[in-house]
Amino acid sequence: MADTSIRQRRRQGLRNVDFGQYSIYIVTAVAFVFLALTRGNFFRYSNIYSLVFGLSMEFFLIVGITLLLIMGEIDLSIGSVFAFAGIFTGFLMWELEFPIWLAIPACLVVAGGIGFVNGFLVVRFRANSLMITIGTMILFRGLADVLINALKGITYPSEYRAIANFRIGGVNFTIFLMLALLVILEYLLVNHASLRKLYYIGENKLSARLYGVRVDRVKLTIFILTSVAAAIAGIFGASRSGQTVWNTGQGLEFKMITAAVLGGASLFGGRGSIVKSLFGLFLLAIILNGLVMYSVNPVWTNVVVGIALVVAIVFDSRVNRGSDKL
Amino acid sequence: MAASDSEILVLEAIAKSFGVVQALKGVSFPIRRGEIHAILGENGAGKSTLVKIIKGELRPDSGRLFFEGSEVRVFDPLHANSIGITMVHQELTIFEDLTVAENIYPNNVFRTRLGIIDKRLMLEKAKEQLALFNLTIDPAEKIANLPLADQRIVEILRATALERKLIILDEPTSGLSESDVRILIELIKRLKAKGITILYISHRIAEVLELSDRVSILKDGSYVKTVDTEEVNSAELIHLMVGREVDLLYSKKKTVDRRGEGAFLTVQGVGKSGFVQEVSFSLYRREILGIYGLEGSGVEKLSHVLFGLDQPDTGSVAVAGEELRHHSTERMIRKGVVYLSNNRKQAGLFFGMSAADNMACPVLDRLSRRGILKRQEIQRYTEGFVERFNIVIPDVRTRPRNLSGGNQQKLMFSICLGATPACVILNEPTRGIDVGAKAEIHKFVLGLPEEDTSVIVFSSEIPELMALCDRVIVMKNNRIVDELAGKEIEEEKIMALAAGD
Repeated sequence: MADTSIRQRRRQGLRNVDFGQYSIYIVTAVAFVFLALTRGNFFRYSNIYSLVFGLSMEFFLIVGITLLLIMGEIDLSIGSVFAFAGIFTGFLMWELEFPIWLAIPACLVVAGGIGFVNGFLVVRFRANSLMITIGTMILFRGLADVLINALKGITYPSEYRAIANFRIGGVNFTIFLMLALLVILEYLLVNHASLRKLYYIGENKLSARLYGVRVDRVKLTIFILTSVAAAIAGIFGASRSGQTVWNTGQGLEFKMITAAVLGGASLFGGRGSIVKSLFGLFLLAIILNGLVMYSVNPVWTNVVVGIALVVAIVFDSRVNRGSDKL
Repeated sequence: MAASDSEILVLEAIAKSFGVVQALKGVSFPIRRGEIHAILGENGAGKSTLVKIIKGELRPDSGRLFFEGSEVRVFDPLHANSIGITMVHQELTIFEDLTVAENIYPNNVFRTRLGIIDKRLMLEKAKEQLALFNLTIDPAEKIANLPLADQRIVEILRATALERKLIILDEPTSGLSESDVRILIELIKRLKAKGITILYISHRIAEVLELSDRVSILKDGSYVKTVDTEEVNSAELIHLMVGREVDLLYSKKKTVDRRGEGAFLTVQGVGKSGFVQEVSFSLYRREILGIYGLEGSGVEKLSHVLFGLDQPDTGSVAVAGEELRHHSTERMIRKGVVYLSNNRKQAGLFFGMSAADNMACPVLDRLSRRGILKRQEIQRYTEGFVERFNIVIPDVRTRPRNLSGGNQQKLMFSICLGATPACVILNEPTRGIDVGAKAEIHKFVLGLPEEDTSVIVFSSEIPELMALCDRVIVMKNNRIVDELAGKEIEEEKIMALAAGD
């Protein structure tokens, strides 16, 4: 009996080591080195810096989606919330003349409300989060459009525009913020009792419930957190672009899911790491950047993201479904 | 062996195992053409495994099966159907949105020359079928509008319309009222008059006695004997179902009367529509209380309702002297009650996480400081239980999916006990594990009262309840029929209460 289990474990071990653990680092490194060797413009400070700066904006989105995926849930409305929050903050300042220190918290509270609605519907009605958040995705995309229409293509007030450009020692503070949060969150995700519960829920929510994990409450909290984080990203994004832009953040939700799944998160729940998800995002950014460097027409962007998503999902299904999850 | 013409189905040394569990240990008996042949046995006696083999859902590990004289080699439901074997399930398989006629003829056999379904002909034929059995059901009625009994009758008619030779009826009367049972029994008698052989699976002894020509009894996966119904009474049948040699493992416990120690958990008039009615009982401190009932008696639902996994419609539950206003799992846990899942595949373990992670789940707060998990402590804690429960595991990082069933069960048991509960609800504590692991788990359960833990055991194995319990409550038809304490706890008494009239 012990013999077979050891043998099985070895087999298991082998399967885990080869891909599950390090593949995202290896693939990212290969892509990075390839571009650095073949394109002179790639490995330049300015190029790498702008890649990292971009990441630091999207970082907040990837955190939320990773936490949700660990629990086996998803939120497709983050791209819309991203757009809505950026414009809504501008709207509050421009139309209602809110000072910035009031506009931003007000916007985050509203975003928390959106997350609450998502989470409440999922938890209370045992609804599929994919379907529910397609609904809120369309809803808040619509509201963002309404606000843009009302604002008629303005440039945001200077104090709003200043946020994303705030620098410490010549480096945008969002990068420091990302690095700090990355270390803290990843540490807590691995070691903190509360965040550990996400994995239990994702692995088997019925078991989690039997052992006293408040599944519904945890889910609701993470949905709220995800929306607020998406709003923070949206505020940074709007601040960076400086003006109202149609269709900002469109497709971001799918990009985030792609990145997280590339980073080893599973649509079946129970797996995921913020660091790896961020590497997934970095990989996507490098690939898209590489396309530009190879003078590929930007219209191909979606084709590439689409292929990456399909490949990642197929891989995820092969590796993670056959397990004993019911 | 060549079956004689009078025998439609012959079973020859049929054996089947699931892992370590031997569900059938070489069962042989013939079924005669045109008889109503009942199969009787406790839960887990092997009835459903046998039926699944006959209707082609499972392949036996060894043994042979002859149908109308020729050996069945293909085990596939479609094949069984094609040679004339069909089954009417306990759970209905009707098409709710279709009419009675369409449900009787789901394969659209009646077509006009253009290939369009000939509805008129179909209604006509359905009416004939119904008339054959003196039934007054309107064939054009939507089946969803019919009462449950009529729905089940339509299902049986579907089988007869296809001119099957052997119809297996699995608990056909469960959930039916007394008058509907009468109608159904009449129908079954007419089927027999038409020359159809009926294999009747039930644990309602009264029905079996009334309806069947012969009864075969299974016990613990073995064939006991086949008797002519006319020559037995219900006491004799019960004796055949349960009477087994008492081996050491299952020796009857020396019971302790804990009723003087005050109630830990009191259930008052709890009901869940369709499953549990008016259930009241108390669990006393440091008592081991067993709850027994056959399938469909409501025990399974009661175990869920008790732990708050299902909300009761009526009644109240009080724990440690305090009545719970909202009966929920969280509250039960906060009151020190834990629950051992009866289906570890579905709930109770995290198959993809390490044993240590599994163990830590209910006690995360205790094994962390300011929320940060103390890894070493979790490891030591897990190792402690591995040792105490003698779990065979390479190390605490191993995932449960790589353990044997018995060790999975012991791990699950450890997860529950790690929370140092005041009360545990054990649902089938030894399902699907080998004898050795079973004995170990029994030993732990018997030791729980010494740690001031009260225990409720739901088990479908009467010997297990006899080995563990101070008191046993028996359920039938969604209600408690009686409770037995001390010396009254006997196998035949329990079975008589659960299955008798």
